[in-house]
Amino acid sequence: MEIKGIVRPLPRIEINEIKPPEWLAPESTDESDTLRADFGAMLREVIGQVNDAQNHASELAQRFAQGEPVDEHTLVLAMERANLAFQLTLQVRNKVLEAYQEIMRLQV
Amino acid sequence: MEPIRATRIFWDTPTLQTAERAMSHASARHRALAHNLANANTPNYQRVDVPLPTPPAENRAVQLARQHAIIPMRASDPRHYTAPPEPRWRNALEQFSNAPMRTDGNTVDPEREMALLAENELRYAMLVRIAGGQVRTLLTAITGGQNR
Amino acid sequence: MGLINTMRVSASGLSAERLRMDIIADNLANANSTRTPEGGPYRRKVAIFEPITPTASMPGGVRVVGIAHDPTPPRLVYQPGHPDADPNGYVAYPNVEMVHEMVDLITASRAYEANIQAFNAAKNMFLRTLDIGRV
Repeated sequence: MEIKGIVRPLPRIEINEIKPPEWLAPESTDESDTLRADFGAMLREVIGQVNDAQNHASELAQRFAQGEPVDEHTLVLAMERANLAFQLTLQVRNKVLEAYQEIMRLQV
Repeated sequence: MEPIRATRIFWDTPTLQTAERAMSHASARHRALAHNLANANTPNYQRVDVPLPTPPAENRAVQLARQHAIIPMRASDPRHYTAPPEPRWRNALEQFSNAPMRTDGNTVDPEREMALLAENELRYAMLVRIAGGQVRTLLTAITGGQNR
Repeated sequence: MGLINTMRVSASGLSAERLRMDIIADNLANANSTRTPEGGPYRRKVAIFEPITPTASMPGGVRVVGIAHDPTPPRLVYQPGHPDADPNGYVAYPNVEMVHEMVDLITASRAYEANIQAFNAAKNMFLRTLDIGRV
């Protein structure tokens, strides 16, 4: 037996219409985008500087090996700076790897 | 040699830059002193040097001393002596130190050159210590003490 | 530039002073030579020094441009029995004065040691530089 007239199609509620109230909304998404871009740019710039340090040191070393007049202290300090830059890169890479592995270990 | 882009480079500190410049100066000074000693017996050779730049603090102190200590005397007659004697005496001393030491016009005093050479070498050793200490500190900071 | 090239400056000083000492030794040995293959008594020799103009690979130093003869006339000593006496009985002895040569020898020797000190200083500075940052 059908009961008619009682059953009505319920109004559809679109899930995507549910929005948090204004004051609870997070900061505009633009800022997080710029943060991400800034970090990438900074990373690229630092990698560029590390690369420059290595190139500068190797160029000086090559000129010294070929007998050109190069100040020895300049060469040694350039090599030390290149080494520091490389060590920094290495340590940052290790830390990033550690962080990644820690996150992967998280129980979901 | 200029360091690569000094803005925001963590491993190129002002200490390292200053130490490098000071070492360049010490190296140039050694070159001058060695040239002097090689020409210690060349007739009419005038000694050369790359002396240390006067530190600014010392100049300021000298300026203050000059302003406050040397008061020119008031004279009632243009023929009266008014200039203080000290600066004139100091200039006279400098001129004497540049006078030729020998009859052949050579101004090299080997003992003086050797003393300056020793002083320069010690100064260079100190700068090496400064630069090396800075590099080791940075390395320890980066590696967290794992650089042994 | 660099400390290595600076060592060459000191090396040039060592060579020049060494040559000067050789010449002085020659003068002293021939202080009484009244005859020479080219005729006449031995004439005092003098080394002519000149500074080297600094370049990139040789930042200074000293160079011996030549060995000249002292133009001072020889000493004439009256010795009529000497085989090298001239018709008037005078023998021409070399224009070498012992005291002058000894003073020159001391000066050259002192300069030689000073150049050694400069050379060692450059070498030590270089070796220290290699140890920057080494733990």
